[in-house]
Amino acid sequence: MIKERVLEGITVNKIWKAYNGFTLYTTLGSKKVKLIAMNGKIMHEWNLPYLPGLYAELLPNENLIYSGHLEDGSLADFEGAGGIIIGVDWQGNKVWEHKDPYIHHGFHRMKNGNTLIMKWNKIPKEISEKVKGGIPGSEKDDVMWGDIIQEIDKSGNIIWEWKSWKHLDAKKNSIWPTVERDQWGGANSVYEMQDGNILISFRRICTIAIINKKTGKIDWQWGLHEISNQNCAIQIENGNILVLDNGFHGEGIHHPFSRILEFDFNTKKMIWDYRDRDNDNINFFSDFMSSCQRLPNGNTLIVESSWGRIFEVTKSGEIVWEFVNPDYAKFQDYGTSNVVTRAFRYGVDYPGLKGNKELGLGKMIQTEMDVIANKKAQEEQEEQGESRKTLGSKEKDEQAKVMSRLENLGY
Amino acid sequence: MSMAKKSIKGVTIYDPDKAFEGYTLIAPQGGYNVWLVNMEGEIVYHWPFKYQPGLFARLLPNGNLLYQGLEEKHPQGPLIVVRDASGKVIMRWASGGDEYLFEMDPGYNIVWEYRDLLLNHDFYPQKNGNIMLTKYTLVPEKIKEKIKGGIEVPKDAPMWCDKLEEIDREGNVVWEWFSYDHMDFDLDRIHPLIHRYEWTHMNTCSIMPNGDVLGAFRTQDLIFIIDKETKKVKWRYGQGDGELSQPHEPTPLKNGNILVLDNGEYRRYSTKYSWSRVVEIDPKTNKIVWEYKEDPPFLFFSGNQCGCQRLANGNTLITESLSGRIFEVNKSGEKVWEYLSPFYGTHAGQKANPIIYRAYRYGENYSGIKKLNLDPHRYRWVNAIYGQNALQGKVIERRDKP
Repeated sequence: MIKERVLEGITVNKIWKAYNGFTLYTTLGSKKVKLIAMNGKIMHEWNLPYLPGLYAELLPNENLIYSGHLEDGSLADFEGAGGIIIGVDWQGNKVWEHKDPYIHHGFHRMKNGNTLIMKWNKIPKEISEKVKGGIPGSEKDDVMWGDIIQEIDKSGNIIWEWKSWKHLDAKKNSIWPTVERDQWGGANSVYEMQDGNILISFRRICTIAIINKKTGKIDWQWGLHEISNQNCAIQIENGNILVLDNGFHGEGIHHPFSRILEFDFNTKKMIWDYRDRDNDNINFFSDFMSSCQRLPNGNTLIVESSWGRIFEVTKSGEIVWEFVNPDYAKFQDYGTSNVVTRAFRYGVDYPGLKGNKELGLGKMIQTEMDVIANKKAQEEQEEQGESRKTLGSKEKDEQAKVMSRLENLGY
Repeated sequence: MSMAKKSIKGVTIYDPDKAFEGYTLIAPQGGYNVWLVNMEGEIVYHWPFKYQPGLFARLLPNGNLLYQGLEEKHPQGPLIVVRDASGKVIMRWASGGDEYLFEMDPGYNIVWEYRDLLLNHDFYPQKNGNIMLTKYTLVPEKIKEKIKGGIEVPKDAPMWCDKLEEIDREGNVVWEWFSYDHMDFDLDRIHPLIHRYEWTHMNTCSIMPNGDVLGAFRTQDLIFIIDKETKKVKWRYGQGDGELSQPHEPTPLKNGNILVLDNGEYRRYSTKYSWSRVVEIDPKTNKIVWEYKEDPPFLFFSGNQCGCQRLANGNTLITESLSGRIFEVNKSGEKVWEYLSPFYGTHAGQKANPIIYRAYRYGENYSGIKKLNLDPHRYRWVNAIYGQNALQGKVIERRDKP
């Protein structure tokens, strides 16, 4: 338990600097998915029929898409084991489902409405024998598992397929020296790039790669000796790549730490990163899972899974919103913990939120957003060194009223 | 700054019926002070210093403090700077250490001083007044070629290893031991994820009741006993599958067993996450007879540093260095006391951090404690900031009950 050590719930809420909206998160070991407002108020809750295979995402068409964990799967003890992906509406009614015992980690909904998924598959012995690295003799029942990436349509037909062991290099893409040889690659995120190619994060070989959708060839790969056991490689609006480097078993690092890296897609140069610079990298570290999301105002939403902590940072690394999950659940060897697998922030104007009347979006957008804008302007003035207009008692009262109204609305 | 992680400070757990009553000595790495705190987290004694702590401090039975010091902005241990062709620094390597050793009496007079830029992690005072020291020494070129493992580094880069020196109070070396004379080139490889700037990394030299030396090589996953007379390594543990990874502070216990903090960085078969633990090993059978792990395990982890101390009532005091957390567990693994360091400071060019290398608990009856005038009131201004606990008086209430 970490209840004695950290504060729970909302601990930072600078709404005038944050990207306002609602945060969707999943607790490991719990069948509940929660949507919370900026002040931590629970705005909606889904009760799902399965434990999380990893996480849920809200689509623009108002469906929730969720990867579930089948407890009786043959590889159920592999990290990120799933088995089923379902789509549900606001009431939790199933609208779509795709079942396959070897599905793992997440999914990615493509522009054309199809879904990209990751699956484990046995690697033929003649290939697995040639793979270098890992702890000798630690295959799972003498078998090494690889990844298949599939594009499936609404009815579950396979539109496109890619097998990792046919394209990875047995020598160059060797398994990390401290981990088991039960997986080669260990894909943990898949993402459709703007040009249609596929971005994959392979944890066990510390590599992120772009796969040419047409030829199947690996167009670009990066990460060896740079990042270690990363998660969540995604492409953001401006075309750049964002990745969460967990820092687990990093090379020559005395104390491991996590960070977020942003890459220029064209030059493949690192242009931005976030790590806990204030405190010598100590207060941001999760060995496993975790995620990053670039928000429309340039901020980044980060999940530090092992501490159940979701926080938003500005370009300069200031934490403007922070939340620690107060819910605990038990799951496999993660014990009873408040681990959050991934989280997503949806702005108040996100189309996927429109169908929900509970959120009271209409009211909020009109009046309350103005207050936020005022506060923002005030702060900017201050930053520019202009003297701040002192508020009279009347104005102060007015501001207090608006703020309390905001609170009632879940801000 | 994470509000969630930095808001709770001081004592967070305290069970007066089960904890080992006494005072905890801490030397926060970012600062110029050594503090003695009571069970409620109040400061009851303080030693000011001109230098930052190299790593930690010990309270001697005569009430004096033995303390490592490091001059400001000096690196911890020998520094290796690697530059690329254009002269840009691509790596600064330093492996931890200090340069001074001071003994200060309760009146703040420095009564003894020793200086060597190659002082390594540990110092162990002996009954006869001598001190066992770990020091850095270069691996001779001929031996360097034989050493296996590690990440390749530029060819002309030095490779460091360890020597032990027992000195008397005049600074004369009365006994010494070089690691490269006694280690095994096949077994004692450098870990595949660690650079070849250093071979052995000796972070501990505890003295056994019979005078033998109990040491730890972090980069070789090894703890071992050196025969004081023959200088031979007569017992080794840690390199078997799943035994230890990157251990710190092996300590001889009264019952003949050995207590050690198994950090768990680069732990094999821990593919999902890293975790630290404390284990008690019977050296006759090499079996683990006691273990403490947190539930869930990943919530007790510090990739390096850390310490462990067996207390007189059978409890164990554990320092989780990187987060500045010190906690006490009893035999059945129950946490009976926990302290989150409120001292954030900068050190050796690093940013503000709460790191504490090793903490020690001294019981109320320890002779060194009796020599000190302990008074929280004297430090009331410091306590107003650093002496608050997260329990908000709950424990004191409970203590008053019959």
